[in-house]
Amino acid sequence: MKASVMQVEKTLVELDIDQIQNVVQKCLDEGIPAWEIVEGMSGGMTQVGKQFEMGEYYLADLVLSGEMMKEGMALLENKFDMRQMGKKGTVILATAKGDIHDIGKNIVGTMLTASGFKTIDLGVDCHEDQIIEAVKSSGSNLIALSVLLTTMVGAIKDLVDALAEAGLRDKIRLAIGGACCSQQLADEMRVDAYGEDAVKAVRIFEKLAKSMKQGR
Amino acid sequence: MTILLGIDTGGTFTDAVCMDEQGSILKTAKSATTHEDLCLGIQDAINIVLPENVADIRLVSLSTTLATNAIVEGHGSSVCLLLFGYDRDSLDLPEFKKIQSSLSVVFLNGGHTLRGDEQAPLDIKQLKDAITAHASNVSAFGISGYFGVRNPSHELTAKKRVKELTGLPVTCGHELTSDLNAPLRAFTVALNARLISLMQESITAVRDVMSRFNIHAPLMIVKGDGSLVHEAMALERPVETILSGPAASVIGATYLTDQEDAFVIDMGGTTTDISAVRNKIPLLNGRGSRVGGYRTMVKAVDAQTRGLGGDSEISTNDKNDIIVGPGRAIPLCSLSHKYPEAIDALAHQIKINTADSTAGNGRFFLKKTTAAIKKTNLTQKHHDILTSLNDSPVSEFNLAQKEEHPFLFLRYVDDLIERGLVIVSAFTPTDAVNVLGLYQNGSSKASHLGASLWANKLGIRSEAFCKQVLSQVEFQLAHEIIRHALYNEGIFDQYHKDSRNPLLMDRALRKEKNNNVSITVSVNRPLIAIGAPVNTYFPSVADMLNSRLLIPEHAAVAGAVGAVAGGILQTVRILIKPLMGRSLHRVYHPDGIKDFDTYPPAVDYAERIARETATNHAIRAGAKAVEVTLARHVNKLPHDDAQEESVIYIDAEITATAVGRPDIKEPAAT
Ligand code: B12
Repeated sequence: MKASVMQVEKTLVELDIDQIQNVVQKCLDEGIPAWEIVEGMSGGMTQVGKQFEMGEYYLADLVLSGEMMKEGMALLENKFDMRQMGKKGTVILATAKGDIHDIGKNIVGTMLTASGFKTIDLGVDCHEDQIIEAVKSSGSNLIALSVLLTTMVGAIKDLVDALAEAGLRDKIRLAIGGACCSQQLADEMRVDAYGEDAVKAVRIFEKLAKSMKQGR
Repeated sequence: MTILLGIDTGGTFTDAVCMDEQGSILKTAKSATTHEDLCLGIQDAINIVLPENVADIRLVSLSTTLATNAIVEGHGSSVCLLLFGYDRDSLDLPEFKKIQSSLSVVFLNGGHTLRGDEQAPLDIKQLKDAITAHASNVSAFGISGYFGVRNPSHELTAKKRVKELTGLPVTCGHELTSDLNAPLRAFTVALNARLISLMQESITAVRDVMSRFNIHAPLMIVKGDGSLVHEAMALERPVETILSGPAASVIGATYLTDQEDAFVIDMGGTTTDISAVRNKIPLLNGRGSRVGGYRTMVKAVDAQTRGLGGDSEISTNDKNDIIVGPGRAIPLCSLSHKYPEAIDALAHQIKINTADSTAGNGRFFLKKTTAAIKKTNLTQKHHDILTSLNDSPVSEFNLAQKEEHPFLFLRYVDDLIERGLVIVSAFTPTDAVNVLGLYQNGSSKASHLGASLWANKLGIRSEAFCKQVLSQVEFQLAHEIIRHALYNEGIFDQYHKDSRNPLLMDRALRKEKNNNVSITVSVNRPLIAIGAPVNTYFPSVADMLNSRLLIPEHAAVAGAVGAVAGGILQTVRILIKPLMGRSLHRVYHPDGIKDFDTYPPAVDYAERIARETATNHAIRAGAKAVEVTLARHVNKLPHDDAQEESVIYIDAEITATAVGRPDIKEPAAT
């Protein structure tokens, strides 16, 4: 990892909100691609999460880290190549019902747009009916569901069931990600894919979009 | 003495067997199936196996292609489908288009949510009006509610109303499946309703035949999963008898060879069915079986049908490798038996073929005379071709010669073949067997001439060509069995994705030893082969696969054996789910929902209800001495937050499987 990107990660871990835009700008000035900077910030967020788990950080610190992420992203938003947008397909993004974590989902969204997908962001605490409605009205056949709370894992199953009852399960591809997800969980819930970060998310949806085109 | 009479109608023959209670086969019969009136064939077959004392017959069991054929041919009566809480556009399935003309669909208020709560209340007045409006125009009703499998209360209320108001047959979605997919459930219910009156007719007809012989015994029907149901239950759920024939063959084949786990291969004239048996039960298609291009939610035997048989057409690919099937053809020997002029035509083709022109390819076309086939969507060109054909065979050589663009012309003929309007006659494995003198069939002269045409084209001798044809049949059979075995393990897609896999499999199956690396493959479960041509091919197939081969003695009537060898099997699945955000556990049982404060009593309740319901279903299906096994599948996650409970239940599913032998009639008191 390049030194300036490491600086971004460190700034996040140290929760130095006044500096975050400066260090991100420094990376941009050095010509570092936007997605590399995002990766730096994600790394920082993960460490903040760990510190919170260990009781080193408070809830307020978490909120602050979320704010920093948003500020950093604000500088990057127009740095991705948007010409390709929508060429690879349309992905519906949502955080599961009962869950309000959206930082990860937003990063996934940014990375997907940056790599040629159109995205429809349904926001947080998303009921399965809302997602089904979006599938029907947009004609999109790709769904990215973010789930961070273990208590809300049932929401994945509910979405899968609701899609099945609507007769849509075979027509769409669904991927999950977020703190409480794993490949094993994806298999148990009969979800098509699991990804641990936003870069993986892009690869997953490229693959899923291709498999849809081949009718499999 | 107690005799069980098994009948298998369908295909070319109607078979019958008499079996005693110890399971020994006493008599078997084969008679031609009479497609216009199946009962004639049944009557002939029964006549042959009829025991001295007819009163000994205590059970008649029938495997029938009735439902399958009716669906494939698009037959069925007018029905009304009552749907609760469905979106109008949710029925946008290709399946519905095919049955549209005899289907009235009514969208009604109601339906449930994922949790089993009411999505909208039932409107009794609206329901009543819908029933009375359609009662006089339809022969049966089908009912399905959105999430009706999570809460069938609206379906049950509607069913009661239909019965009270009309007395017509009526079936609900939750009775046919417990799987989610509202549109496909609605279609399956509609399909079921369409079949009820046909099933009624044929049960009455079989009953007539039985009383003509003075047979007074319960009548059972083989379901698509190979288990038996009493005629009354088959009448309510005829759609469950799709694939009854293949299922009975699988059960029969397994029974005759006394195997628990095996692959069953049923080789017919033009197709080969491959299926698998585990613990004496055929593996089912968990995603629902397809029949004649229709998807259903019925879980029937997962038999894969391949166009490969003694009457498959021989062709070559661009590398001049011989390929068998998937198209069917009348063997040249059978053709010339009926039309001796074909022999002259073949002889003429041999004469005119030169080193650089092999236009004479021994292929003939015949017009199919069946009037029933619709000639829609045909162009003028198609019609011209049909007129130029008549009832006697015309060679492709003669027809194409007159054409300006022979290649294009053959495309049109292909269309007609695909629609069943034109039949092909060509060199087939049956001809190859004839030439090699393995057995005699029709006129061997035509087979020899056909073989010469091919052999000249490939630059080999006739005999060598015929041997290659047979080994190609064997190779393709072996490869299909491997594919099915991998598919059963759920890894066929992975196998197929990488083109190197089939390449290595080729090497293994052909036992090639000339390369640096040889591969050995073995199928670790025995192969049970049934069907007329299996003795010719299967010894080599089993050898290629390094597996054990079993060809049972009564293989020819395996379906009829399966009809009486099968037992009753009914399963009931009950779901338990915590209600998110509330500390309740909800049981989704066959009559509705019930909530519990904690998990353990919910499971106890679900298991009790599952056991009771499965037992009742089995008894209604005609079983005695019912035994139930329970299985519990729990989906849970550990959760280490001190403030909350330590386990998070996602859901749990209780499955009760009830099995029993058919409750045969007690001997009449004398
Ligand atoms: C920031 C944070 C918050 C912020 C959220 C702010 C916001 N706008 O999102 C606030 C403070 C609001 C918050 C609240 C709560 N939180 Co919190 N939170 C976190 C924290 C520290 C970081 C989450 C984060 O943003 N990570 C950074 C991003 C970039 O990572 P990510 O979300 O994992 O996403 C990446 C990948 O997972 C992946 N990905 C994500 N989605 C998808 C989707 C697809 C399809 C794919 C392929 C990939 C993918 O790509 C992303 C980018 O690389 C985590 C700790 C952790 N280890 O995750 C706890 C954590 C998720 N929170 C937790 C808890 C318990 C809570 C609260 C219940 C706390 C409380 N007691 O009130 C509430 C819940 C409120 C609710 N109903 O949702 C627990 C969850 C425990 C569990 N297993 O259930 C965690 C794990 C902390 C912990 N160990 O205790 N939280």
